Amino acid sequence: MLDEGAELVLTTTDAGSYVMVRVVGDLDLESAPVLTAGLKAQLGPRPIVLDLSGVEFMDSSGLGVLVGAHKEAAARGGALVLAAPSPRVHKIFKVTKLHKVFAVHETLDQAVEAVVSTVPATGSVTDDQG
Amino acid sequence: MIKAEDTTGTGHAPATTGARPELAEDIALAMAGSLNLRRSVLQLLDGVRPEVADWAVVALASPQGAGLQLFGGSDVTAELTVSRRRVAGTALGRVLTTGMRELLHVAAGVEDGLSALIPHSALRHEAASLRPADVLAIGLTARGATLGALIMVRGQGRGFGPDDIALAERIASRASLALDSARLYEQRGEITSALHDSLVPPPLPDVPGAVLGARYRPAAEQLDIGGDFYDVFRAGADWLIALGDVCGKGVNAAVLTGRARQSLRTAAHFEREPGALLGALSAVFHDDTSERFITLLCLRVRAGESPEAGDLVVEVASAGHAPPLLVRADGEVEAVEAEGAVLGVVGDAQYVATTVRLAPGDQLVLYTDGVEEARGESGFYGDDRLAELLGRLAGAAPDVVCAAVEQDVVEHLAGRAHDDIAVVSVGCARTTA
Amino acid sequence: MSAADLGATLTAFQDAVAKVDVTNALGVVDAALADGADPIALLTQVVGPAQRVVGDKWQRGEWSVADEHAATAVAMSATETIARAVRRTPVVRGRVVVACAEREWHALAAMMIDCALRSDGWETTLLGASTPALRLSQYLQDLGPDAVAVSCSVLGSLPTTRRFIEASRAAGIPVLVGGPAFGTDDLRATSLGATAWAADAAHAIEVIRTMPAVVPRAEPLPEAAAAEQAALELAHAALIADLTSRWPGPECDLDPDLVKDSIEQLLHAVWAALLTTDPRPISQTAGWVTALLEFRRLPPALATSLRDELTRALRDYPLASFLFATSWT
Repeated sequence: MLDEGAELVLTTTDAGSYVMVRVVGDLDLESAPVLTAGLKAQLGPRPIVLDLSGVEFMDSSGLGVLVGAHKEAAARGGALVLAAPSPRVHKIFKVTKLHKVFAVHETLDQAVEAVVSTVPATGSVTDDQG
Repeated sequence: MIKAEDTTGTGHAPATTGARPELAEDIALAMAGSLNLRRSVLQLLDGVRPEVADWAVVALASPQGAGLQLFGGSDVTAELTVSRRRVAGTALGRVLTTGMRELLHVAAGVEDGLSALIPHSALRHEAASLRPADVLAIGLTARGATLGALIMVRGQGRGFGPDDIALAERIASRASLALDSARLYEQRGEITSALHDSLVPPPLPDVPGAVLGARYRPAAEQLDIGGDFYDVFRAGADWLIALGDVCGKGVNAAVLTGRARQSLRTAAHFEREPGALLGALSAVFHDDTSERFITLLCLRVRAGESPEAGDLVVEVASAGHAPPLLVRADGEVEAVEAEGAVLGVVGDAQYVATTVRLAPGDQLVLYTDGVEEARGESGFYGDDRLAELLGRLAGAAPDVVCAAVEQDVVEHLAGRAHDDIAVVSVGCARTTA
Repeated sequence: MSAADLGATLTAFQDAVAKVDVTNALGVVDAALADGADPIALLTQVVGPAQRVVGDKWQRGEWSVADEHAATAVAMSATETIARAVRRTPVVRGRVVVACAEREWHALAAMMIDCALRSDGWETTLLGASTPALRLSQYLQDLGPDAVAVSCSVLGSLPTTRRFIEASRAAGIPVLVGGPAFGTDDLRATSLGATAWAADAAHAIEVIRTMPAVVPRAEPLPEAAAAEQAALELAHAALIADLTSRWPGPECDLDPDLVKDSIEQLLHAVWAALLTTDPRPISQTAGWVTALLEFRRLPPALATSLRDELTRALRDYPLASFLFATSWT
């Protein structure tokens, strides 16, 4: 099958008080496991900022990864913050109303700002980072 | 006098083989093209004639029962069954048990003697009429088990020489593997088809005052099932229509659609207002750990207040699903917004239904994201293209509209892979003019 | 029921189709069946001819594509009614899988074949419109039919019909083909590797009884021609874009759907000619397009310029160019 979708590429950066994971490519059934694995490796006490600006296309499998990661983060007392979704991805968040469930910020700066300030972006995180 | 021996007997004219050595490979190749047991047997029977035998039967032990199926004879498509007990103690019985071949030399005119290897009188009669010199039965053994036997006859005084037997063994060993694969495939198929039938989209019932249409095209095109689903059913005096999408594709997703449909129908016993119904489901589907979520549109269709007008009142509730499109008979297209979160992420979500009225000739078109996300040469199919197409089809029967949408999306894809696609349309029936 | 009665039935049925009046159309069919009309005769002498008129009306510009869809839906409902009557016939023969070529959207022809075979005692499984080849293969493995019947109405679906033929023959299953795209003799069917060809539903009943139990896999098509057709298919979208930008030209106001359709039909005819070594699809389609333009009172020079544009577009395809040049002079 001719593939229009690029491979999914994750770039993880340690930013001290948080971890930045940048995602580039199509997030779909084939590439979802890549993101699942990448996030699993990073979930922990420090918040994760997921830079989605490089994701042009996401389907329900891709969204499922975000749902799963969100739940896992909530269960562990960590935080997952989504940043800079493309118009298509943002529309999916809106229609599914997951933009009210996820912590989503329009720009990367806003997301980072929300994470480094002492009050987290959503009220769903227990603050145990001492 | 009839003797059964493992090697070629004396006193018979040595048979010139004439058969090509590649015949075994040719038959193997032909049989590899089919996973259907009966068709594979047909290929084998067709392949051995006329080069190896003039008449052939494949005997297969039926896996569960005590029967022995006999395929072929003079008519390759013929099928007979005899009880396994009938061959106990015979040469054929030995072949089926040990997998070792048996070669029977036949005296002319003695039909009954053939019963050692041919367990049915009609088949014996056919074989005898060829004036056979030999009957050869080769075990069909694959993966450690003997499935059956290949029984062959040569007529007009020609026997099976050592080369013929060697060729027959080669053919049988390759054929056995193909037959065993086909048998495994069929056994698997029986399990899945029972499940499958409950997971395919349901036939559309007759809803009074309404006309329905639907089309479904799973991502895995060789299946009929996938992660999208729809259902139309009566709950009390009301009619409910649902269209949804569980995240994922293929058989695993399809199993979830089965559960979703079941849960929906159960919840509808207690709650028929679409918003409240989705709220109830929200609790049911909530799971603290799973990635899975479901988007769902739920509609309740009722007759309008005045029967002469023939209107329908439709309440639309949405759990994270794209809004349905209301296509008026005059060509106007508008989205019916009803907000609500996807099911499975938040346990206590609230849903508020939007109410619309359909006049005769109007229809409400529900669709899954496979439509909008279909990627073709020129990019995504998109909501705009869909709205424009529906505007042109306004007033047409819902079934025609669904078919046209499916057609347009598939043309756009031009053969590329796609997510599950489902379209359902509920139209208000036109009153007779 | 006499031929005269069927004539009256045809008129009444055509009337109902013209008005897209499903209720009436089905009433006509039900009445005919109750009167003892032969179901196959109803298919081949009423529903079939009425459907041909639908196509003609579109060609003459009397009906839009939406009208054609709607009228076809009526014909399909009528065929379903006849099928229901026929389903009571006992099954005395083997199983046939009936399919229409992928990306062919009118299942009507396949429905008619399905109905005819069922009436002759075959156990039939009808795969719906636009069956993907993968799905056909799945059905062949699961059902193991005695034969496959493929109906192909448009030339553009001949490549996928060929794939169906390959799939069927790979499983050793004989394949019967028919439909308007195969023309009025068996030349195209034979070239594509089909086991047999039938002219219509009635003919199909006779022919299917004569097919062998097992067939060998299909021979490959002549390499150069098959390669050119595959290349044309890959380049199809680009060719359409190019040709629609150059024809009919800015001075002429022709419905863009009609423009695209005319060009596409001709390109599909070239595919057909390449795959079947039968050049007639091109000349027949050229005639059809020319008539189409005439009905809309457009100057004959327009057809000529279309021919010239296609000649230019096909210049990199030597076999196609040759077939085209000799078929549309």
